[in-house]
Amino acid sequence: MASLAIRVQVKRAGHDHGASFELDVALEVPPGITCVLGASGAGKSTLLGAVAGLTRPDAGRIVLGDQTWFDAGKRIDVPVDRRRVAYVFQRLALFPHLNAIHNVTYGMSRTTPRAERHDQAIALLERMNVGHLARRKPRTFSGGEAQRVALARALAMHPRVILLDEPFSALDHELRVQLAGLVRGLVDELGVPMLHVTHSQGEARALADRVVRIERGRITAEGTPAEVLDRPGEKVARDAARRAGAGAGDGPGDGGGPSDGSGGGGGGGGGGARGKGRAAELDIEGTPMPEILRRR
Amino acid sequence: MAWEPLALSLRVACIATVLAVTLGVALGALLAWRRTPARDLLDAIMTAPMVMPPTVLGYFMLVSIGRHSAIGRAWESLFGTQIVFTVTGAVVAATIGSLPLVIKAARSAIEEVDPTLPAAARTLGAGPVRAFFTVVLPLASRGIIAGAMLAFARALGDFGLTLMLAGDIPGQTQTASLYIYDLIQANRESAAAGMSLVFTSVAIGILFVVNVLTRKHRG
Repeated sequence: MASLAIRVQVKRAGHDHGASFELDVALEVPPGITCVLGASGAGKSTLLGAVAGLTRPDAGRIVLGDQTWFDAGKRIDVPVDRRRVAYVFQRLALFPHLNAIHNVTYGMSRTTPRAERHDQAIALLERMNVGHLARRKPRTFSGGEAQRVALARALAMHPRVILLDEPFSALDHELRVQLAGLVRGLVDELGVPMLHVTHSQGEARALADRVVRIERGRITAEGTPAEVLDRPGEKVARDAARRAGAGAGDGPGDGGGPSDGSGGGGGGGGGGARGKGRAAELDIEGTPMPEILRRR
Repeated sequence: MAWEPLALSLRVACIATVLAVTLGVALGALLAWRRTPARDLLDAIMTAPMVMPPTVLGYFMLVSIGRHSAIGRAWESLFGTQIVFTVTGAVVAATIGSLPLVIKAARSAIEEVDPTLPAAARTLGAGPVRAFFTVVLPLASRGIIAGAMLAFARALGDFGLTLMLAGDIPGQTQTASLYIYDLIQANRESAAAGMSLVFTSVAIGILFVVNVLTRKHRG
């Protein structure tokens, strides 16, 4: 599967009290889970917005495999509705006027017959263990149920990339671990790149194949969870040295960033293998993988 | 008691409400959209009919759609009648008078919709039009229904602008409020009282029904 290559600059003028903000990042997201760690306002959500097509970067490129989604130089900007990015928002953004089935069918191809879409939605909801909510509206869902419906809706569109913007932040620990296990299984199965924004180092450690730390719009550390979370000082110093060595070629918009995806494909295999290891780690932590993931 | 003026008022108000809601939702959406240039100025222009004297507004309308205007001539060549001093003029008057109420209500209702929801619809493959009609509009419908309700009440009772644009021709353009005015001028106070009572009952009755419908919609 293709990997996602991102090299973007997003500038925001300061509002009433805030200073101006600039996101300037370059990263490769192979298939598997990449957790993005950082404080509020570091630019994590802006990064996801740029990948989804909701935020237009000022410079740079975003490429998935051999498809260019955004290229400031060539004036390419694939609209958000054509990118097929599953975006699970922090507030989930389930449509309150639609029941669970209609939320899930919303993103399905309209060339599929209605009855078939309906059946697929029910199957997905059942797979997420929320089949009983099929005809209920989101206001009646608990936090965990809403998460599962939001995940079902995101997956129903057969996404090429998955973006999760701190969707578990409002949940208790047990539910977070349960849902993290569910996400792990789904990503392994789909083999797509996933960017998972989180505040929680524990979540990143348990879930991620790769971790990226963003501070004030810049990537300050990048690597495996162990590299970034366990030996952060060492890693930061090594990254700084590498960046200094890379020199001027690191600017946004140069041709070196996004790959044609073939390299990412190789990385993807590795990601998947690592992923299974991580899923096992969740088992070790005392929270077994939900049975639901083993169905299919 | 003559029922024609009341029947005409209801007919004019119904058509004017449909036109005002269609136009008002589109304009309200335009004003709610952050990238619309000169939003405050546009809002002021669109809201002006609410506060302008009907005579001034009527004068502008006569200049714009009167028989010597480009629009008036085009209309006459197409349909063989004028806009002014016809039922069409009464519909235009009622629409112009009630349009700002729908624009204000629609803008406010659309702005209240969580912007993440249409964004989510876009990520799920919906184009901007589909996202608007399937997510924004249904969620803003309560506010829009309230705006339509007010627009209907406003259109039903319009007097000044209707007089300027449609005249007061008995049996043709004489709406209920104009008829009541004529009755009072002719010292037929008991007939005016009866008509006023009927008019008021119909207005309150309709608003009550719409209120009930809106409450059910919320439930």
